[in-house]
Amino acid sequence: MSSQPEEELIVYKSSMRIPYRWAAGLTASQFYRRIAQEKKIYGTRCPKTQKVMIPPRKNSQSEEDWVEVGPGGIVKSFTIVRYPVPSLNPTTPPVVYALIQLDGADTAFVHQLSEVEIDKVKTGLRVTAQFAEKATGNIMDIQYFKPE
Amino acid sequence: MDRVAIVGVAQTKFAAQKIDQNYAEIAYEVVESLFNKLGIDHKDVDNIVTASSDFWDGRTISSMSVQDAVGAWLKSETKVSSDGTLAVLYGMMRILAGSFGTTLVLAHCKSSEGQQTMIGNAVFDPIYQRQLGFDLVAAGALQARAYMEHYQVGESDLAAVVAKNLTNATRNPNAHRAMSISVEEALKAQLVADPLREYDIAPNSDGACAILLAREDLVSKFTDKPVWLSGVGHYQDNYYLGDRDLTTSRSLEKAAQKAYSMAGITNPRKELNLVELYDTFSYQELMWTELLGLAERGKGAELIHSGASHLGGEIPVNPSGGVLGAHAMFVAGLVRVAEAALQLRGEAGEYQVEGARRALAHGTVGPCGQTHCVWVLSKDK
Repeated sequence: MSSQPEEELIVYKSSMRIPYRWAAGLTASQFYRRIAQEKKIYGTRCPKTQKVMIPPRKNSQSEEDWVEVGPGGIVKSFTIVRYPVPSLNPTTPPVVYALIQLDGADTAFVHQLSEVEIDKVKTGLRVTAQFAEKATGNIMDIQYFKPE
Repeated sequence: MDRVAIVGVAQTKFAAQKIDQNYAEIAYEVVESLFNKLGIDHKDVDNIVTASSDFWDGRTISSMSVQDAVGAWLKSETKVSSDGTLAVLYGMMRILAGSFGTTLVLAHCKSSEGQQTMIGNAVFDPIYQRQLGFDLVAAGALQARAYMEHYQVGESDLAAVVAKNLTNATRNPNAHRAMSISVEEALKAQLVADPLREYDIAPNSDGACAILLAREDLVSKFTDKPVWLSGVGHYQDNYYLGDRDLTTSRSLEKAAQKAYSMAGITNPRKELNLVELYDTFSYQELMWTELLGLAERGKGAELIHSGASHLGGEIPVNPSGGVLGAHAMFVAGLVRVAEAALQLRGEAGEYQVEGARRALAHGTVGPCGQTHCVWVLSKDK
């Protein structure tokens, strides 16, 4: 083995920035279009089990299987992230993430909580969606959830 | 049906940053170590299965980078882009299918090279989840709270896992995070993602592990201490966290039932001598032991408080220190298999479980234990 000092070893610093164009598909496109145009959240009802799913799934082609849910719901679990989140802007912690079950939905989904004092966040807290002023067709069109 | 045995194992030391080796060189180190232990070379290997991740290596088809290192030229080499326990399952299948006599299984990962929060965020789909910015640690924290509140499990129960495993790791020369730490000290560690503190979360480690599998009739050519693959179960659950009941894991329950039934185990707590778990977070050791049938639901902590899962107890859990002691993504499950094999061979040094004849090795992958693979390994054929 060579005895090269550690400070002379090369560490090549780089990053990969690859543009993608992910097709959201018909179902997600409809979900986001209704948020943008109606400020309403819709899930899909499974034609077999009758369960209302959020996010919506492509297991039904029927318009009547789209069901409005929320905008209120209940916090089922939460965490306060105390490290910087590099994909957010600003990246400054703390960020509160919660598993939220919207009224009328049978599944929960993850989103951020805001406009809440950190020590007031509890499982069972009632929250409601705050829609973004300008919709851009992604999950941040619901800007965050806040206490009802 | 033919039987398959583990005839050799090797692992590197795990560390925060192995700056003197590139990712192919950690693979080379561990394969060379395995070959030297067995006195063989690449000509004795019929088939190669590797486990690694493109995202962690920062390139496509991450197995390409280690093909030279494992001696895969003019051989079949295929990759499992998932945990090492699943690479063992696939390796065993390639032998039982009659195609190959021996299979080398290798897993490698250098966690130090990519930004872990961003890679963990990329686990989540770009249509509905990724822009929220959360990662595997935040997802684990959501499950920790759901489980703890449902069963009234306290932070001190999590700290008991930390104290046991990091202390066990002080006996393991390959561990990355090893420290004699008390429950009180673990409770004082910094909050990272409530309710998880610094030592509740596995470190990000660099390292590699390799094992050699052989068909029954070839085993004696390699070793007089084979470790038999006697049972395996592999199941997965829903992808979206909100589709699952995070207080439990149906996929682990089913995987355990399958593995126990194949190995003829009816009372795992009595019939297993030790358990090596893939617990990325302290709370997962509690959940996983319960779902493996070693404790009642919600009572996983009693295994530790009673001393049963400590070294020298009735059923030691993570005598090596487990994943809290070293965590290289996808490697950690293969290390569980290797550690269980070392125990059954009587080669676990300072953390040997005396008289071990049957062990469980577990792997998981996906946020909050989406996929599980359970192995039962035996000294006796």
